Amino acid sequence: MTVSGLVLTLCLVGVSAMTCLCLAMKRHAFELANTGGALPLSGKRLRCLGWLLIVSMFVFAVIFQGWSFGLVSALACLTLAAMVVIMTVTYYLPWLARLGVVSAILAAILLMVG
Amino acid sequence: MSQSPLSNKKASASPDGGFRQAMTWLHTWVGLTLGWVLFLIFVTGTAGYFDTEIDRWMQPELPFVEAPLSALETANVVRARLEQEAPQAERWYINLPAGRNQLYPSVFWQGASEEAGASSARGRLTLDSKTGETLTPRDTGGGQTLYQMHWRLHYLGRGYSDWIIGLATLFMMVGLVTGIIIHKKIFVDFFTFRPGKGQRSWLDAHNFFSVFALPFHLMITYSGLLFMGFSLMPLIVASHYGDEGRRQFFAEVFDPPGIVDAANTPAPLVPFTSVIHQAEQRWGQGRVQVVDVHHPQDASARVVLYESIDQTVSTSGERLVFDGVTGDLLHTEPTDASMVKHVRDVFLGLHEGLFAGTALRWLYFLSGVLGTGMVATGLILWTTKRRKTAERKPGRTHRGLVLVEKLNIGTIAGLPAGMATYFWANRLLPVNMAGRGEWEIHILFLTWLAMLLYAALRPRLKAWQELLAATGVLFATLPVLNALTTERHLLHSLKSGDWVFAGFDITVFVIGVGFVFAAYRVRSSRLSDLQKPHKPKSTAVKVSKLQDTTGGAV
Amino acid sequence: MGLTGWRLVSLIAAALLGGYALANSVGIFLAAFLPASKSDAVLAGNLVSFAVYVAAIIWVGAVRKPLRAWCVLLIPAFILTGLCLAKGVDVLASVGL
Repeated sequence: MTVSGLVLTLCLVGVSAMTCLCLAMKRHAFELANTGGALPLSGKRLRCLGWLLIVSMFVFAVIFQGWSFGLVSALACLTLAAMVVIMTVTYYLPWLARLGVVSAILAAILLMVG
Repeated sequence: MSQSPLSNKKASASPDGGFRQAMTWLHTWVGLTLGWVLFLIFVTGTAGYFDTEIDRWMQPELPFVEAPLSALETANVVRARLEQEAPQAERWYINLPAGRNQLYPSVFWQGASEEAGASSARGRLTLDSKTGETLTPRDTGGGQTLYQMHWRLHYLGRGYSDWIIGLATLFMMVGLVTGIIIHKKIFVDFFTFRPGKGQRSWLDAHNFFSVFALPFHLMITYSGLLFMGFSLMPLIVASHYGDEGRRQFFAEVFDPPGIVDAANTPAPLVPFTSVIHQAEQRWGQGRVQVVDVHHPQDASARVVLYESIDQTVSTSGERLVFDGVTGDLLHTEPTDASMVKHVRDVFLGLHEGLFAGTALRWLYFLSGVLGTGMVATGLILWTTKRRKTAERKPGRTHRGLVLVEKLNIGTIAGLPAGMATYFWANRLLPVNMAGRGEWEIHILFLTWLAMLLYAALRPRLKAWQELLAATGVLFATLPVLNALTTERHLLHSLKSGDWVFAGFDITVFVIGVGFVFAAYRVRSSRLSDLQKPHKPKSTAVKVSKLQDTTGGAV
Repeated sequence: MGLTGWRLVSLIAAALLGGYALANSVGIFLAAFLPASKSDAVLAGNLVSFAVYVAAIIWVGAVRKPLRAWCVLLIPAFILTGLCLAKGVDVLASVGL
């Protein structure tokens, strides 16, 4: 897998992780419910899933790039992912859950291809 | 307010208010005092992550670099040139082209003998790697000067600038730690941004810029202090090495082992063939970054090869020390020969990000933008808070508030305008003009000054709107200027796959559009504000709109 | 918040100058007593001194009492410097005395 491919994958995993963490919070789950959205998982499970994705992101980055590069890449991608999620929460809330799922699928495809 | 055990303890120690209040006070004032210097540091530092790319855009006559020659061929070409240019030197320092950070070979020498035919005792040249000819592009400040402004305030000597930058960095560090302490709900508010709610929105934006890139901010600030380490804390070295002992300390820390004084007996310098061959066997093809020759053509010559730092986050790789006459390998110095130096090198390496490839470099750039946004929103937050109070008490003058507001407008919108005119000057000043590179920089600062004056004379929101618009137009039209003044316009760059040129054109265009959009948002909120009668509430709306825009643009 | 005039100036000076004195003395102390080669110990002292400086400034900001701030910063600074002098480190020469 090329470095750009890796970074893209990390960002996608980061986006779904951040989506999970975001929707696990009462405030945002409530906002989503107000727009007519429903969540398939409880808050606690979402939080676990989110952290699991973040951990896997770091493990994956470290395996591919070693400790130093891996940690830097994973942290940087997490920052970008958090930005994408907060923008979606603020301006396109109904799309958030879909964003999380789609980026997880894309990440999986990239992993299989690359 | 939730109180930690720590804050209870401190609160009892200070009758003036709680621990958190004291920390808020400190956060506010360390942030404001040198806030505009910090803005300059963040803006130019962020641009600096693309310093060589900006260099290339600013010297369009330089050839598009194709596949470079092998390290050995290049080193030999450069060596032939150095033998003419700098005979009997104390040192030749050859930087070989290696990826993004070094496009053309460059050399530096010192202590050459002018009697033996040297062009000067010390010098620095950028060469063509095939012919060894000096490259003579237009004189420009380039990306390097822009990036150096980041740690060396251009017109001041190092003696002053190190202290100002150091103090600003120190305040930044204090600001970060106090900011973490006073942020009540760092996790609860993590994904919360509430636009259109005045001061609340500014605070959200400030938190957003700060928290998301917090690891970056902490790393960049502490390592920033370490860059200034020996200037800011000279006493530690001096007390152990004496006042004059700095050189010895630096030699002990930074020089590779096995360097000896010149024997003053001429001896031919070993050919680079076997030396570079050994290094490449160890490190891989094309991974020799520096050929550092101590006392060339002397009996005690040493050839030190530096490994490329493309596979480490540190500022230094492995070094091999060869005897410069026999070509024997004398020492292999691993990166972590000294653990303490290694820690420092990793900090500095993370700061500079020279190891970062394209994708990671963009993420560095993004983190820099977030840092810039953090400083900008912090400065604006200071004014929105006070503007609200001030408007409740009309008739009183608020000199401090007005001053900060004007400085904010002139700097947050005006300094980027200065950078845009820096690029304009690069294309418009006559190519043969004397002191051309220096004038580009003068124009940057003159523009900034003009923007500050303009902001001082205009009403606040009009000044924001007009300066943001001007900055936006200056940036967005740069690709047009480039197309008119060179043959390397955007379509040409895209067709020939020159991503550096295309990337620059597209990036400045996007930045420009961002600024114009910001100006548009200020305008619409200003107009809607005018239609309503003057109520305290409208201030909040107006301010929050402004925040959406500048927050997103800077 | 009750801090005005000379008390405020004194507090700021305590943070900047007192903190600087403490940071340097900790750095010089570490450089003298860390079990490493001289250059490594000096470099380590340099790396750590900034953390001390930042912590000192924040602590002064929390205490908000100029006299107390000066005392708490300078007393350990003097003690550490004294220890270094006792070990034969030429601390005074470094400040031109």
